[in-house]
Amino acid sequence: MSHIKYLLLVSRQGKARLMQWYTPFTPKQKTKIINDLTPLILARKPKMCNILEYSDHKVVYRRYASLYFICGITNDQDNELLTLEIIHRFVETMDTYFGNVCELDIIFHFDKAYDILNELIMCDGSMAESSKKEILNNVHAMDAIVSNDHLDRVLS
Amino acid sequence: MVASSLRSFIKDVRGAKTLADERSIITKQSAKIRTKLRDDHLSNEKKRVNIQKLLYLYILGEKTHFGQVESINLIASDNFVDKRLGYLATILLLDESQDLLTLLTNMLNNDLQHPNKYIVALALNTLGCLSSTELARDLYPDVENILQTSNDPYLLRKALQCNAKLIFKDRSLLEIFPLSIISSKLLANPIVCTHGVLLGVCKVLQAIFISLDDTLQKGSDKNDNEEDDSIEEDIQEDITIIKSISDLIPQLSTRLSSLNSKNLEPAYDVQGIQDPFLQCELIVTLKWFFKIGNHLNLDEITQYNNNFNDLLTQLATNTSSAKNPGNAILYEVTKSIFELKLTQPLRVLGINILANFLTPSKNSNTGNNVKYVGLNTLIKVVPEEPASVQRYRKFISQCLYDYDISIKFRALGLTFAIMNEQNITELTTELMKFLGQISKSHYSYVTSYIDMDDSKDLIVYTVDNLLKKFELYSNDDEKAKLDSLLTILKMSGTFIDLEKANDFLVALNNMDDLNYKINTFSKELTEILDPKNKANTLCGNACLDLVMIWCIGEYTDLIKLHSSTNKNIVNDNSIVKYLSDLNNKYRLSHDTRMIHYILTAALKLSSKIIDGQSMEKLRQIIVSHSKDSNLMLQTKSVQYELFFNQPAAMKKIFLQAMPKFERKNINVSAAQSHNTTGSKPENQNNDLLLDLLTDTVEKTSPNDTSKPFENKQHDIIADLLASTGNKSQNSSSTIKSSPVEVVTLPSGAVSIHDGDELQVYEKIIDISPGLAHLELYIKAKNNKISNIQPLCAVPKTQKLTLSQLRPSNDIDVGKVVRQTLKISGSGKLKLRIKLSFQKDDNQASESEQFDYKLDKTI
Amino acid sequence: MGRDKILIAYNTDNEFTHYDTIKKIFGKSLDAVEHTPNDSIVKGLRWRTKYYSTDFDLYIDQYTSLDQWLEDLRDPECDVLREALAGLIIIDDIDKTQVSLLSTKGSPIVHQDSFLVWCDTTGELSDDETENMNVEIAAVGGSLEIIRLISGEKNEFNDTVGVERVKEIIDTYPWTNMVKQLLINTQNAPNKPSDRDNLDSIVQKLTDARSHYQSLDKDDDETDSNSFANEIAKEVSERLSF
Repeated sequence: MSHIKYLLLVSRQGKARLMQWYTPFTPKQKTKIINDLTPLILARKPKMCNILEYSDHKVVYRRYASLYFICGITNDQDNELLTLEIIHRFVETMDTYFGNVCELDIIFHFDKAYDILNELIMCDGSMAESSKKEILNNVHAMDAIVSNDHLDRVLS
Repeated sequence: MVASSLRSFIKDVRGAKTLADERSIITKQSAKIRTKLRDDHLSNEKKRVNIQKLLYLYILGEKTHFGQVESINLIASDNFVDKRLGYLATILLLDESQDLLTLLTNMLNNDLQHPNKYIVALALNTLGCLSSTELARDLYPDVENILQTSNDPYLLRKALQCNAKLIFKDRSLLEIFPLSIISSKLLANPIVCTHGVLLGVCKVLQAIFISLDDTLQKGSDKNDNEEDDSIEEDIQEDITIIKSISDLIPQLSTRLSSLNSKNLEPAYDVQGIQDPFLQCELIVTLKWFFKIGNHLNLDEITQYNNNFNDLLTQLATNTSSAKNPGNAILYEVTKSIFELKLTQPLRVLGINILANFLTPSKNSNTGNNVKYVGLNTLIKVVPEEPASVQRYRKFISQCLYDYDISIKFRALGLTFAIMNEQNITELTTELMKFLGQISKSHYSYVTSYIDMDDSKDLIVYTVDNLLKKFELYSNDDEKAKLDSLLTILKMSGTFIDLEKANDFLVALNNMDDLNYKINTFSKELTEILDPKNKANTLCGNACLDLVMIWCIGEYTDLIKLHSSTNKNIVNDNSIVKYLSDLNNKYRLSHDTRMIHYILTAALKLSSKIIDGQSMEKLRQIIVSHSKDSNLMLQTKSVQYELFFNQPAAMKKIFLQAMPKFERKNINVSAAQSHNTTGSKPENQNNDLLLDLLTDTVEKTSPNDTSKPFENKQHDIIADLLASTGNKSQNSSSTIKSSPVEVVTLPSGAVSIHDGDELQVYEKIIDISPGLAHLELYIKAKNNKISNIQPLCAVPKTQKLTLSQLRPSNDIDVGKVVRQTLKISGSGKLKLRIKLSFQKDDNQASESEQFDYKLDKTI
Repeated sequence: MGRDKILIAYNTDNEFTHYDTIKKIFGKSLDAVEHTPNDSIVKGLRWRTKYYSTDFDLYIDQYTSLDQWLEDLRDPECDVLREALAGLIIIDDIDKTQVSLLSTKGSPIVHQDSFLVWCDTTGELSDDETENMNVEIAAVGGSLEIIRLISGEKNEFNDTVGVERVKEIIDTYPWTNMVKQLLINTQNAPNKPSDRDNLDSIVQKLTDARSHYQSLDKDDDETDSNSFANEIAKEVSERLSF
């Protein structure tokens, strides 16, 4: 069962660009996790494996477009290899949505990144939809409602 | 002097407007947003912009709690765009623990019934992220209603995920959850039953199983007698639930099977594998059926056991291992096999899959991840299927030479896990080769400092474990073992801490084949002392030096007598000179341990040589530290000199060779029997404490039973030193007699408790972030106190380590005992302490309890 | 006003034309202002991305010894200059000892939020070697990033490399004086299927629908009007999704 504890997006320059917590952590713990993991992962060589042990759990990460996608997962329950694929799904979906996603897109459209993420992963970190197309359709449909509302206001 | 060009830049900067610190810009910005959010007249559009900005600050890690209420207010708007952002902000800024969640109840309730499915979906998502038990109870009917009435797969899958979360939050919801809709509605209708809905079904089923599993675990803890009945009831209910859903097994199995064999829908294709996400979820869900079903021995489920085994075999055979998604499925299959402890052929199949993970195809860029999980899982399952894992020794050894340090470490771990009496020689040879390679690469000029640290860790880990294994399989070929030890020492001695050298000494000391041992060291000494090899004494290998020093002290007499010794090179004169050289080499070192060894060796050697000149040189070595700035060394030097001057015959008796050294901690069965005998009283203590304390605190009590145990594993050298030290004054017993320690109240200790019988003082030794070191002093006020048992509790964010009471668990009137506490973790320092004891040797136990808050945080 | 200066320093002894590199990075911005390749201060430049634009100044300096130059820059006299820097770009052949001067965490040469980039002009080191050096810098907590100028646009991780990476670092710097091109809203989300025709027809439909809906007598036939509204909603949402 996928039971992701958190998903973080960190730039190659070590700046947090997105974070979503699926397990309750205190603000202090959150800061510690980000501060600990950022240098740890930036200091990993490209050929090293994408799984590491941190604190009482495992961390799986994937590097893409100058960003590191980092997931904390539950020991024994989560499948490390599958987590890599979940991250990849997220990346692919954003890539299609933004058209070759880059760090700047996520800085300026972090809400869109969250919208996509919320369609993909729900509740306590479980995967809710595996089709990229389905996710994009729904996000676009919501975008359409927003622009529709906008139109409505213009009309009335 | 700053260059002129830089000067011109400075001038330009000064010419510009005043600079503001970025930090203060952010602070100003949050302050601005804060005021704006308070403004009720602000249009939603403006509010949205502010919440957007606030979320940006949230990602930067700034404090944003002040926006929580406004985020919730934004949800109340009728506009989708407001709701969408409001829900996002609420999820990000709030968490499940907050009281503010009650504000959400009505809004969620309304939106869960909203005609716009995307608004319903936002509400479901938010409820899934932020569900307190109250919210779960209040809003469950709305979620169930969606499951019952909606036919939209999008809403159904969201509602299913949310429902699973609500069941986690409140188990009693299980009783009203209409399980039948899973098969009658969701699985039956092909339009409704999308992959997303199936993922949701899996999630709900897993939530059910996990809460059932909890009940079963509680049922097996028979401690709470009063609750037995209700748990028994729960279990009966659970069985009914499981029976009612057991017909899902064939349905889900068929789906998994066809998903695995067909590849029709491009939307779900991941590198040639059809929806690996759903495949894995289905495997896990089915695994849960059998885990619970087999545990309760329910025919409704066990009847499918063989089918499930066949299905797993099918998945294992048909799934391509070429790419990561396929491997993810194969990995999930092996996890099921070992978690359910399935039949031996399946376990062998599982091992084969994992072993194949160790040799991924060369071009696969995820190869190391597969290796990682392969090694990690194999380490866990070795005990269940040792023979099958053994067959892949070659694969495992190859991983030792992997580029990735974490792979190397796991390969090492696995190598030690499969090491046994039969293969120890073969695997040791392999590990020596590995040590050789890594020691060499450590010094290679291209190696970066990170790699240097890594290789040191690897070497230390390897040596540690090899030594343990050598000790475990002590009846193995001793000659080979001695050779290996010496090779390891020479190759890796520079990386190993002196403390670890102890283990070498223990291993050497305990070797039975004296002749071979002496022969070996005779050769070593010859090589070292041969004037042609002068460089040897100057090598940086302190561990090797230490072992040689120790051998000189122990075996010089035997080495001199041995037939293979070249008397021209190895004689009293050369040996003493060597020792003297080492004394000079280490005398200025900060690490005084080496000198302790040298002094003892010199003393021991004095009973083993006859040459007068050399004897005087030995005395010089000992005397050379009589004015040492290190007090311990000085004392030792003075004592040893006294002892040195005793008649030879008397010295011989005191300075006998070390006896064989017992280290029981290696022996597994001994350790276990110790645990079983030791655990009972400790448990009682804990229960007692549990009655006293709220369940949010963690407790520790010093494990008294471990005391005799620890004594057996003390430092061999300390033993030797202590015995020689004491013996110079009294008997020739070889057992260390510990001097009586007297604890007095130190200055600066603060009284923190003044009870009828006991007064307790506290002294802070050291407080640093994450760690506090305290001492408690307990004083007996009016009566002699015996068998005092301290129990301490700290907040659950902290971990407490208690040491032994010093000097003992008994206190005479007016006297003091010391208790050392080490607290790690974080948060305010708070202690709850209970001291139970007996007064005046009276059998009845009394106790005093108090709380103590330090004004300190770690 | 925040940090809006980019300081560039290059080695005078090396056989490259520093201006070429500066041109590659700041081309469009430079074209818009009058300057000569030998200017050491170029003011009033504008950096544009698809989301925002920001004004900045370039300071260009040269050195023969980087040690000496860095020592100068660390001088308290230069505090005010360092505080004004959005970033520092060194243009030089790569040199491991020099790199270590810049990558120590203890004495950062620029503010922690500012960028620190070394543009390697030779390409003697491969992409992998450059990557490894960056990893080592990260391991000691340094903020320096070495960028191989001759690299293409993307590497195997789809990371931007080469000059494009330098631009990306400037893009993602939190300029305090940035002017957003458009407010953050869905209108400028890329890849949105909202071409002009589609929008027009929606607007038309909505206007029609609104007048028609209002003309219906709700009291008489509520189901009718509701179903109409639903129909319209469905139509609209269909047109808006692909």
